[in-house]
Amino acid sequence: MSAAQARSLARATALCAVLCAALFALDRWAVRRAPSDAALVATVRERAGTAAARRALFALVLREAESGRTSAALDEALRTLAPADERFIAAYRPDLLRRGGAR
Amino acid sequence: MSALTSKLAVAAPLVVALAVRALLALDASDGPLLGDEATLRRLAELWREHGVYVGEWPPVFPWLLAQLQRLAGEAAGLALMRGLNVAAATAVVAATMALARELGGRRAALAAGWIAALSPAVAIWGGLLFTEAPFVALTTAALALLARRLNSDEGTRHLPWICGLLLGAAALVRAAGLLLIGAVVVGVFVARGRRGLMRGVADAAAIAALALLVLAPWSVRSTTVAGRSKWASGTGPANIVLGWSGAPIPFERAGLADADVHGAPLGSLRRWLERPGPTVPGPEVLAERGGLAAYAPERVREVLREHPGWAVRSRIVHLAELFSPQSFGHRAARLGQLDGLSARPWLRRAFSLGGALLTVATFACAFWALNRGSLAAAHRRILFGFAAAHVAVPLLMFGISRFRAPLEPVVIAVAALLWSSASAGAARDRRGPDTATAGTLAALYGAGLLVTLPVVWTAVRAGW
Repeated sequence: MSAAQARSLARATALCAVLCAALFALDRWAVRRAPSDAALVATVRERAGTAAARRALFALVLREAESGRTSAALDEALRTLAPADERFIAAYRPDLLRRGGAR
Repeated sequence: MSALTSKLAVAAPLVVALAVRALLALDASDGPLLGDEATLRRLAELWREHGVYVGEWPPVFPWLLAQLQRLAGEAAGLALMRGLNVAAATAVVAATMALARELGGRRAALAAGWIAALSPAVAIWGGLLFTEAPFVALTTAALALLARRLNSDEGTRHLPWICGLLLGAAALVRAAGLLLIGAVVVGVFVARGRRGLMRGVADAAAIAALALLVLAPWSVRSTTVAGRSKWASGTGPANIVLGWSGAPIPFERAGLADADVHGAPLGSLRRWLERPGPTVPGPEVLAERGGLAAYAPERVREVLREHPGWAVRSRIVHLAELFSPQSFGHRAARLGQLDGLSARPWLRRAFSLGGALLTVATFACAFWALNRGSLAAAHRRILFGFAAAHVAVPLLMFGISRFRAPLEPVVIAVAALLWSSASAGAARDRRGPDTATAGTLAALYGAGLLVTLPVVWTAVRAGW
């Protein structure tokens, strides 16, 4: 390998490394920033009736759908639904209201 | 040919494409919403009324629908969205012409324009409010720019960046865009890298960086909602969240099971394909909806491990649907969506059979054109990659045959090279995939066509 080729390879490797490192750092930051299931349940309870509560509720539904396993956190959130959020869930996902323990 | 005649020749396929797609859209406008259309409308309503956007379903289409409905009202917003979709479906034809022009010159562009304008497999997306039309317009435009970059270094330094921008935007329209970014980055690295490693790396990095930059805000948002890395988004979990109650497992079977296929060839094969799929245990809410539990990514892996026979059967049926270019139109008709002009049996039959024949003929032309060796080796390799992907994608993806939609214009552009003045001469470069590779791909396609006979036959017998 000539010196020019070696320099070209080094530059290419550095460029790829920088790109991958930036991507990895961004991903780790986003994962750290994600609220826990418990925090989402708390949002459903404390900000009842707001768009934030509804977003938190649907985030829990999504996490359950992703895992394919019944989520205890979603069950807990459903047990503490405010009437306004219950009406919202009844309009979009009435089946959730029939889950064990939900009103 | 005068400048005016030349412009008219280019405009003609675009005008015809616009008319065909507008007719399809008008025809569907007063029918019920089908499949993803209903999901997109529900996503838009949730966003508009409640500020909630669920899942990591790519956001552009529902967001745009929500904004249009906010501005113009629910019905008018939906009509405006259909109009934009027709424009996007026409842009697909323009992008296909641009790609063919880069590969084979003006005559090839005109041939590609007419094939794309009239092909039912491409036109159908103008009539359905699905994400395919804008997605394919973006990806085909990106590929046309890429082809120009591969043709010449002069004045094309900025094109990889624009290509990345378009591919990133495409991934915000359909989740499959991320796969295409990966494929293009690898393809560009290989093709450009042959002229110097740094050229390959620089162009590939430019495309990847811009595409990921466009995607980053949405991926970060999806990761924070899902609680884990979500660069590769999926619509399955979003469907579950929405309570979508589509067909149970195996959903690909529905197209065959509902149809009248008495006397169809390969009847025993069809019966084997139709054997019931596995019952998938899942959370209560998922179990209520039958096989939808299998959409959850972890469940998919379990099902494939535990029921390999079903996995093979579902892939075969998937291939069968792949070769039925109007399979979505078929479903739309059964659900009563196409109740207007296209409900006439003779028209439906012509659409169905003509569409199938045109698809087969386009592929034959594409393989023939590739083997004439008139293309540069870099183009040949990339185009063979796309042809191979056209065969492999439905076998590998746990989804539906719509994943092939972005590959359709590529096949048309290659087929149009038969009409290229450049291809009439001697081969410029015989390197790249050889006849044996093309033969293998053609044999795979032949096997697929054999399996698809019942579907095409069904379509004809059922009035399609």
